[in-house]
Amino acid sequence: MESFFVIPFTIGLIFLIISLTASYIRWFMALRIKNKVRLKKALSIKWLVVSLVEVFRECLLHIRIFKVNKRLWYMHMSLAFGWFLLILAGHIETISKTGTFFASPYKAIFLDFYTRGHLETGWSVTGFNYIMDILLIFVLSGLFLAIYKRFNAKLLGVGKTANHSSTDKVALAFLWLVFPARLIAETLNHTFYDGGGFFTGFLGNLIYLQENYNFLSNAAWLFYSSVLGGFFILLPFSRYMHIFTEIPHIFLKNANIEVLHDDGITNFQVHACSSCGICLDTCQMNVKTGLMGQSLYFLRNLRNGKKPKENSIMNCLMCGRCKQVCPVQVDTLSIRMNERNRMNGKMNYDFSYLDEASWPAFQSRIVFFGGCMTRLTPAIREAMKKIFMLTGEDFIFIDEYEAICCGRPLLLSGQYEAFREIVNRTRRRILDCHPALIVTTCPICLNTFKNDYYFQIPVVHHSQYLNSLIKEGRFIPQRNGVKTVYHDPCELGRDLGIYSEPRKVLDSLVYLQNKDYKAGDGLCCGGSLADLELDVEEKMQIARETIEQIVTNDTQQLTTGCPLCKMTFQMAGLYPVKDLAEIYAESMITLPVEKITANMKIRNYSNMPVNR
Amino acid sequence: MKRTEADCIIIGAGPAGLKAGTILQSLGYKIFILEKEYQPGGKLLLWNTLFPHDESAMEILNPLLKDQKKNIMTSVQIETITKSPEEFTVADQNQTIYTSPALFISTGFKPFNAGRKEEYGYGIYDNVITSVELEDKLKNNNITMTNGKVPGKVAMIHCVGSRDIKVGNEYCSSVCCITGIKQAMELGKRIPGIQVSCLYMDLRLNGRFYEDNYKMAQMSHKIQFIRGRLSETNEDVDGSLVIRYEDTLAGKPAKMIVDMIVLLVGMQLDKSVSRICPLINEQTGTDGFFGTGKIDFSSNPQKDGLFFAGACTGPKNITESMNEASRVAFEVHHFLKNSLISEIHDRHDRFRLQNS
Amino acid sequence: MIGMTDFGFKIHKDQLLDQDRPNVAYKEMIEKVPSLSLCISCGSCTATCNSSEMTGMGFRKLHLYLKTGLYVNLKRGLKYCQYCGKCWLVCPRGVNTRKAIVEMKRIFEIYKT
Repeated sequence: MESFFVIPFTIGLIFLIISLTASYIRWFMALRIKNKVRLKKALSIKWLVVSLVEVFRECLLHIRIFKVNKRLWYMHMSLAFGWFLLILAGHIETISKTGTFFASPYKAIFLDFYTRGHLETGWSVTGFNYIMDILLIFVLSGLFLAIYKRFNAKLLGVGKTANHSSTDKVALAFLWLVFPARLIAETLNHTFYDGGGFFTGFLGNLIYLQENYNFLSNAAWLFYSSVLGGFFILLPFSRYMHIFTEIPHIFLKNANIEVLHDDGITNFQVHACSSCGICLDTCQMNVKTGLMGQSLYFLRNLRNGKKPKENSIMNCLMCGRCKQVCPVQVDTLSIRMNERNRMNGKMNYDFSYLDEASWPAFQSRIVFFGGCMTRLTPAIREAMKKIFMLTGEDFIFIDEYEAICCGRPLLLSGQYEAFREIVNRTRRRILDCHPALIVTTCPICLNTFKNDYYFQIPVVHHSQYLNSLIKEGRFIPQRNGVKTVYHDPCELGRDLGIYSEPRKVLDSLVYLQNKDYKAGDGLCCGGSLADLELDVEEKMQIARETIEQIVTNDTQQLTTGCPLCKMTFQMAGLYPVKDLAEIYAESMITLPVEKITANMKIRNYSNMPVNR
Repeated sequence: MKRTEADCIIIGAGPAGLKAGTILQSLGYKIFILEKEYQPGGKLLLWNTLFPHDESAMEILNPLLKDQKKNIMTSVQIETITKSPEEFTVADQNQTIYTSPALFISTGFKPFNAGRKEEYGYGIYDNVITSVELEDKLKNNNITMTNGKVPGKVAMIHCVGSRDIKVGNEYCSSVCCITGIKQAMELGKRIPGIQVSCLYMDLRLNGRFYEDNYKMAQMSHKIQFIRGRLSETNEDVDGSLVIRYEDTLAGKPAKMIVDMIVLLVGMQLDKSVSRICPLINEQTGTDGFFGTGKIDFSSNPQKDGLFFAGACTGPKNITESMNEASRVAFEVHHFLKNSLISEIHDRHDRFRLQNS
Repeated sequence: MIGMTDFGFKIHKDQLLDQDRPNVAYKEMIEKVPSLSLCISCGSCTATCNSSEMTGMGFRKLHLYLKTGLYVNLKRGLKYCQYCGKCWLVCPRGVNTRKAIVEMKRIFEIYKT
């Protein structure tokens, strides 16, 4: 029995299959009813095909990494796709040689061991050997890059590499050994028994050993088998769990399954994270190290079953940049939200005092909602009032004299119940005015209105409103040459996809320097309400870095569409900051009075973008 | 290109620069005082009367300007400042070059840009003004609001741009408290029946006779002192301003309707010189002013012939500014004397070498 | 002999803030939110607070209650917070107010049962 060496491999494989099946069944059972229903609804041929294509594209070809970084893509792709092809080619070869379709896995993996001595010729044999060697070189080239990345990440275009846990490091060592081990096994196999391809054959010929050393060949096969078996056993406990979990993850993702609290989906998502570190480069939280709040570490702690520390859960701007670049599309934001909810969701609250406040509810066509942040930026407030008055709108500035909160800060802190309480009150208060349109200057409020308020009337950001004024020809502003850079607020850009309207408005007002944009690429100003850990200096550092990245040498002013971004940039104090409403209102003053009164007419807001 | 040599170049013709100039001139040195404005006097020109004794600003300025007219170059925009081992070379916009072994920096301060505290409404609401603008109104004896009326109720807001981490100025500007009290009393004197409230975090009245001013403000002018900090300003329909603060001693949030808000703006370093000269910029401390702020701070950089005095080394009142200028002027004198002596020694050595 | 108690009045102990008693909660809070010790009670936070107008509470008071050990008042006030973060924005000393409130809620176990 020479083939006892397959035992480690087989044990590993059996363990892996059992462990994966058990985990997936467990997680699947833990899916919330709501998600199970969604999954059931999604079951269709189209869903299957779309998901399978995505599995091929993402698990093997890594197209999303290709879009981010070509060199990094080659490294990942050659390892994943190369390995897959090796297995595939090995199996085809096995089928062709044994004639049976269901060959045992170890026969396919260690085929050259079983066929040694049977020297066959013919194009199919040499052809297979040739292909297998090419694939091995392909994988080894990726491996070489991976090892090189550990020493010089810059060369691969990576700024920061992940700091892996010790289990991950051991698993990584095993993975790295798999392919060299195969190379050694194949090479020595050739030395003693011939039959390798052009590469292993060539290497095998280089080595000259006497016939009685042929136990080395067996040892090499044993080594290869052990490395594989070891890797399989480590896989479920390490980040390499993503290799298989990404497949169900893609299927579930395409079924539009929401990442709910205490849901099995979290496990699929968390284990689909490969800790590749692509998100680390885009993360702006590198200013505060040591809290392990960045998505990669946060997800790793969750994966290892460790509850992330409180401050690491809270140490995040929730800007969504990691979600944007994630090649696996892990919903980092929802997972973090759920953790925050687990931590703070049960906190007590008492908003009954809001009942005591009586508010005037005038019937108005437009409700203008400034939000808390606009209370601290009177320039935006006054500009919007001026614009509404000059365009003759029937509007009510609903929080002109006291602040009303949209509730999002509570949501972001994880206090979901309290958030709903505020939402109910604010919603009622707005609807008491029976508006036809809600305009808000605050993207934070807008995001909440669109996602959690379920209004039946259009809710727009003031940039959209101003754009409609220009589009309808109600006010054609005069363009001045002030060189301006527009900053995309996270909640407006990444969350709501409003990029073009503010740019259109600004383009007709000033010399806009960043007319072109890449959706999802915006930076956070640093002032995010989602973060609880940063101190002023750290926030300012983020703000300054952001400003430096978006401005050019001759920029004269910054604009933004968010009062919080505006305030944060003002604190940083590098450039004068204005909201686009201010610039718009300034240009309006020159308008002759007759023109304004001509503009007064009842407008129909039905063409405004309606909520989701 | 014009080239002029001097013993000491003084940058900034404010109280500190002028005081140092007077002293150095009386000691027989040739000096130049470079001023970027068209008129010497610095921030003293903005002021009408000075605390604590209501002295007229011109009374302080005129003696400083006496016999100095020929030394002061106004409307000078300095473009480069370079240093060789022996001397500083200063070039202005007309390519006039000034050289001297000693450079005396008294560039003073710049009032905080109150527009950065947007929630206070400066630049947005017409009747929100800074203490500098109020002083100008007092100077012209025209204390009116934009609608031409005389304000009946004024709120003075302390610590605008001082002691505020959110604008990056964590220091106390030291003179705003007493300036506020002085201006409040002035308002009380000029406008009978006016009600002035001072909103303060802490009153820091640590100069001589300042406490007397405080008492006088309370006794004679019935000025209200409220311990609280302004957080939001809003304009009412009739143009009056609604301010929100917490009366921290009463422990209750409060609002007040006033006609005018005066923001007592703090001091910031005027960076116009440090921006062009890395050598000087190096001397900027963590708080944004020149020097280390140590008890005998001036001892360090002078070895190279670079001296600092006045409000550019930290917020100061005029007395302190002139005191520091006088002290540093004598240090300049010491420095120049030593370098002259060493120059004579050098010449002597060279002479001996040539003859031997 | 007239005893000291015979003057006809006595000091009510209840009205005294006993600062000799160790304030464990405050110590813990300072450890968790070091910037809390920077508070100078300027009242900006209360003035800008969404709920202060109706409740009279504000971050300054919460901090004061914590510092002086008036925990009953503190617990009541903590419930009102809407978390909007304006207090953080106006604070001249950079106190991390929102984190402080979350931590206080946690220490005093203000949870729904």
